[in-house]
Amino acid sequence: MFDPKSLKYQKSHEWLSADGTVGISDHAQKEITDVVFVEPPKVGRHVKRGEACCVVESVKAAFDIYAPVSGEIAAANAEAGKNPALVNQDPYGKGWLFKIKASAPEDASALMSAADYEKFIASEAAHGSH
Amino acid sequence: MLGAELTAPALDAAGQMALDEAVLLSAPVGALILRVYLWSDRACTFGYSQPHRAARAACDARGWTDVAPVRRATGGGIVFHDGDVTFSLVFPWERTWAPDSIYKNIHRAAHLGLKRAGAATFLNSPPARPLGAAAACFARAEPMDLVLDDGTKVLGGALRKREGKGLYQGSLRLERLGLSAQAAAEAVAEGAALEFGHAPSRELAPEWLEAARDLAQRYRSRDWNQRR
Repeated sequence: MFDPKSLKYQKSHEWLSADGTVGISDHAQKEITDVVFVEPPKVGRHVKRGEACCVVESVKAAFDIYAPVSGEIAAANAEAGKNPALVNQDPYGKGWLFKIKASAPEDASALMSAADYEKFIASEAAHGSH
Repeated sequence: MLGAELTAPALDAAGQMALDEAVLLSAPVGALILRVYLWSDRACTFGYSQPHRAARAACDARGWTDVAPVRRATGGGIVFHDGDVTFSLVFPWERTWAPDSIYKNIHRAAHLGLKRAGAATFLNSPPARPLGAAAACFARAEPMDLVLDDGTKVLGGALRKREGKGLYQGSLRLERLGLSAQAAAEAVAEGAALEFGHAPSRELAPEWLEAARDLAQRYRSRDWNQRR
């Protein structure tokens, strides 16, 4: 399991670890409630930063998941595909979604630190529902 | 009266799904765009993550052996489009991911409009969320669905979130509402204006229609509909 404080975050609530693992934050999994489906990207696919490459569905709502950096999909979490509840149960561990081999590692510098992400979700809450 | 008219001409399932997605992809962030539509023939749509075989079997069990079920971009379950009015709303969806709050807003809009039209409905608020997901949309009422006083579900919906926009697709059953399709369409539009503080746009840009023509090919394809 990754330490959430060690991760980088996007405004769209994906996290990225130093080894290229990607998942969604605990905040996001709580908001979307029970995840019933995960469609990870195909290994070997090349994605650009911000490109929709994965889908997570909770009850009656499908969410696009975006690549936090450009690169090649190096692995996909088949276990989360078989047991989507892992995304809720362990968002920073067994509920990871895919791994990406960054082609432009500097992309990660544009992501938020854990502290900045906490401020970001606090400001979202302060601005109301949607 | 907002002059809400049903989309004309009615399209087939692939055409309607394609136009909804084209609006989602092409509308500017912040736009609120409503379409209320009928179908050119009976149709069956099913949720993005559902297996095609489940929709196929449901159609066959209903005797709809000639109907090709079409996969939606939104989640949710199997919907038979016969005797319903379908509406879609593209809306800003930025700050929260919580689908329940979205359903609450949109279904309250429908509730308000239907109430003005003389049809009493209620937001379903069970003490606990039912476990799992039902294969068919109208098999049970989910939290925030619209129901009659006896619990019969009359409005169910499904969502897709893409960047800062959301696509809602809802199916409103008319049998027990005592409303015509046109009256229901007007009620939905009026309710949306009340709930959101302004009337949603009903205008479709020519380029969205063009994009929908391209997308419709995908919605007709085996690759899309039988991808799982």
